[in-house]
Amino acid sequence: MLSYVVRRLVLIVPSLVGITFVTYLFLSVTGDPCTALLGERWTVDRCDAIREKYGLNDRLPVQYARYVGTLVRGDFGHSVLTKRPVVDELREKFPATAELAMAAMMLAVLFGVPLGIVAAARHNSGVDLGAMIVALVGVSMPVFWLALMLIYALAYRLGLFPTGGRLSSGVAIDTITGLHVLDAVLTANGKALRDALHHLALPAMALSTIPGAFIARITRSSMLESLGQDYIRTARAKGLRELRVVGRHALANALLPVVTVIGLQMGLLLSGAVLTETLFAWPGMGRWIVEAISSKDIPVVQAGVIVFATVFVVINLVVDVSYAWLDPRVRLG
Amino acid sequence: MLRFAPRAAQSACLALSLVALAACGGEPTAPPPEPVAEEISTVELEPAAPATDPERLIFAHPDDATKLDPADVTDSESLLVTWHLYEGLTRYVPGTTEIEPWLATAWTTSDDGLEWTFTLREGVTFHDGTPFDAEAVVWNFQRWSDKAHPMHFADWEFTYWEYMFQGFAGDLDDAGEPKSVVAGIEAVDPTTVKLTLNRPSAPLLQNLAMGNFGFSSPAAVEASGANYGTPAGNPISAGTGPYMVEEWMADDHITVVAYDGYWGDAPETVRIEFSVIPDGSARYLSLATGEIDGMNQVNPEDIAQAEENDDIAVVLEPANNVGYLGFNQAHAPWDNLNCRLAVAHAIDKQAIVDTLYAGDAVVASQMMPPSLWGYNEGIEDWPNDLDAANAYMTTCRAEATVPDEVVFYVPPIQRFYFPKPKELGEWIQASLAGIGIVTRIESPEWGSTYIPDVRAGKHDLFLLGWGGDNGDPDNFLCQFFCGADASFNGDAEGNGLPPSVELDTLLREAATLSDQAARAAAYEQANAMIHDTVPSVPLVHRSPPVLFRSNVTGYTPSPLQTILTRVAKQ
Repeated sequence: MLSYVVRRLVLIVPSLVGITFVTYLFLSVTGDPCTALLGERWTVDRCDAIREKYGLNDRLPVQYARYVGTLVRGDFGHSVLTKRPVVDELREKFPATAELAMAAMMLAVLFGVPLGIVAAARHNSGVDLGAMIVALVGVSMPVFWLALMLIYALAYRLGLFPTGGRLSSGVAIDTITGLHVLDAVLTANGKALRDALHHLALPAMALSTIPGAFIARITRSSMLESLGQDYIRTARAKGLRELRVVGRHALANALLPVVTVIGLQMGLLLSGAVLTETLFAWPGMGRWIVEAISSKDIPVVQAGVIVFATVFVVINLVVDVSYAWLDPRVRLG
Repeated sequence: MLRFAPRAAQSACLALSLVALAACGGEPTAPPPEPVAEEISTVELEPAAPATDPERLIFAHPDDATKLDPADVTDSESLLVTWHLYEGLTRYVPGTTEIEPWLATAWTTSDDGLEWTFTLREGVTFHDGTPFDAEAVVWNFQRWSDKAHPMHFADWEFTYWEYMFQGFAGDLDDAGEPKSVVAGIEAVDPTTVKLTLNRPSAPLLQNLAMGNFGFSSPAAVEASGANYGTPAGNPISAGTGPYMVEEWMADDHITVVAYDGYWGDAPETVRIEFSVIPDGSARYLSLATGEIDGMNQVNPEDIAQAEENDDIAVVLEPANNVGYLGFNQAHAPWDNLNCRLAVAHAIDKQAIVDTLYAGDAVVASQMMPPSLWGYNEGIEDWPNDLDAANAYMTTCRAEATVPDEVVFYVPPIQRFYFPKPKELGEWIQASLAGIGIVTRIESPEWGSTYIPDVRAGKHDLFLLGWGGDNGDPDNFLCQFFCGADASFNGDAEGNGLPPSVELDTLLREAATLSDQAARAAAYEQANAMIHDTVPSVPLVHRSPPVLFRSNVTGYTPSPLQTILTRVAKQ
């Protein structure tokens, strides 16, 4: 198993090389950051000066080689817009996205898996229909709309939640990991913990609907297939209680596809939920990367691409390793 | 039957209740029917707007500052904060574009306008306690202007120095002459500096009042190095202003606190928190719930709602911008005055303002807003008159060849002067079709193509706008009509030409006049000339709204800055 894991991690490197080159290519042919920096003050001379300053007049292979050279030294470069080291901005924004993604996935799993199990166990009943309607609505509902509705109803009208941000004004927290909930626990800061959870609730709810709906549907399909197997009939014939049949025998074998979907969805969530982050003023990576793309802030976009690609690869690896844990028949390596 | 079903339902309920408990944010095992006597619980359970700290004013804007060193920023989000941290030799009289002495209490000019001697205010300190004096002024000017200065960091731009003073030390134009207006600066004594110019600059005092030319403590910049102005700086910033930085949580908020050693009147509110809420609707909802006290960048659709909400006050800043339709006189028939007059009479500007704006714009009759001195009150705008438009069009067709299709550039994204550019473009297209001009709308990508194409004169007609920097008419009019690019006219090689040589000459001369009254008269004359020759059709001046909770007082709307120093919560 260890050699398998190491081999998979090493294979990240050629993947990243290919991805960063393609990204560089696409960004280079779609323009430069002049207009983002200059706006209506754009002139040929000013843009030329910017292009000269950032080496954008060099041939593409030269630019790319220069970039790779800095990357090898662990330097993601500086943001063209803010001039700050990209790695500093990454360090600030990734924990925010990670915290939101993990919270959303927890909610998605807590809702989706039981919903799928119930639907499968009461197949073709009203419960099944209701559960799948809920899942269909969840996957169909635009996140942007849902987020606004949550803010309007639960924050504005009922005042139960804040409208956005990660912490209330005046609430202090010692930053260790950047994950406010975890940092509050580690520093035994009850006030900050409650406030962080309070702020996390609405965006996590909004973000969890689509993955939750996917998880519910795949859990149901997988459970139906599992419940139709001969060994389930045998287990029932042997007089086992239904809870044990479903929870112990059917569920365990149904989880493989569910774990795959959870992994994929987690990767998507960690890529940053732009709309949710924008609406809830959540200072994460999604909005940061999208703004960088529209501003042609190449160093930031490249950093984002590298981070996302690495996240997907690592998550896929974790999913693959979990197969071996879930299904003893699976042998890795 | 399936006896587990209730168990599964219980599992689902348990999951739901876990979320609800997390959402309540209180003790996870004790949802209290009555509020526990703790501040957080009361805020959570009360649906009414929470009472915010009277000593903390929370003002929301859509994006975080990029940097808190004004010398290197161009974005309004950074300047919103730095206006409260830094001061310059002069400042804008609150609510106007007039200037007044500030860190310089007086100044004299040599007869040739090339030497300016400033007397500095005494008793001023930077936020790090170091004194503001002539040496500090000289250090800052040299840092801004000289690329060789050790604190003029290589990957910083100091863009507005280049814009307003036309170049850095040592830059030469094609004739070998210094590009920069500023030749040098020296400390005459601890409270006197002498600024030497390469050529007279009438807008000098207006430029020096800009937020970009606030002074930083040399010691602070040297201590922080290239991290100055960033969250990693130590210190983050050190100006002489009434506020200093207390905390910067990147992409979340910046908190500034009143500076104890400020030389002037203490600010009304001890703390201001500049909070980042990117989405306009979310920002408005935060204001409506009372979570924040003020906001800018208001969605047009929220303005009407805000006006009906007794808890919110709508304040319109005097316009400092213009949105216009421009003609490319290098392309026939737009070099013909009758053709341009036909278009000027065909557009119903009032209907555009009434329909495409939310009460936050006025019709523009000139290419600079009324808030600027030099505005000509006597100009009567060309009326929307279809008969006159058709008559001019008939003459136009007799004198020139109107192409079958006219290329009409329309911005693809919202701009601060055109919140609905697509609708505006279609509106004007329909108006021109009514007098027989067929247009083809092109909206190339803003980020890479639109402005370069316009500057290169690839259009026949174009929509664009401009926001003023320093309250000086030259910043509007010469920007447009001094032939720096081919937007309004060009030669066969695509080089820029002024649409009118006479206008160009007038504007260039006006920029050198030292007498303010003479300058104002020159710009009024220029505005009249622009009106008569129609190089463009000014359409709107937009007044950006700022919203506050009704209990917030003391804000002075301004065309150039958002200053919260005198704002307090009742």
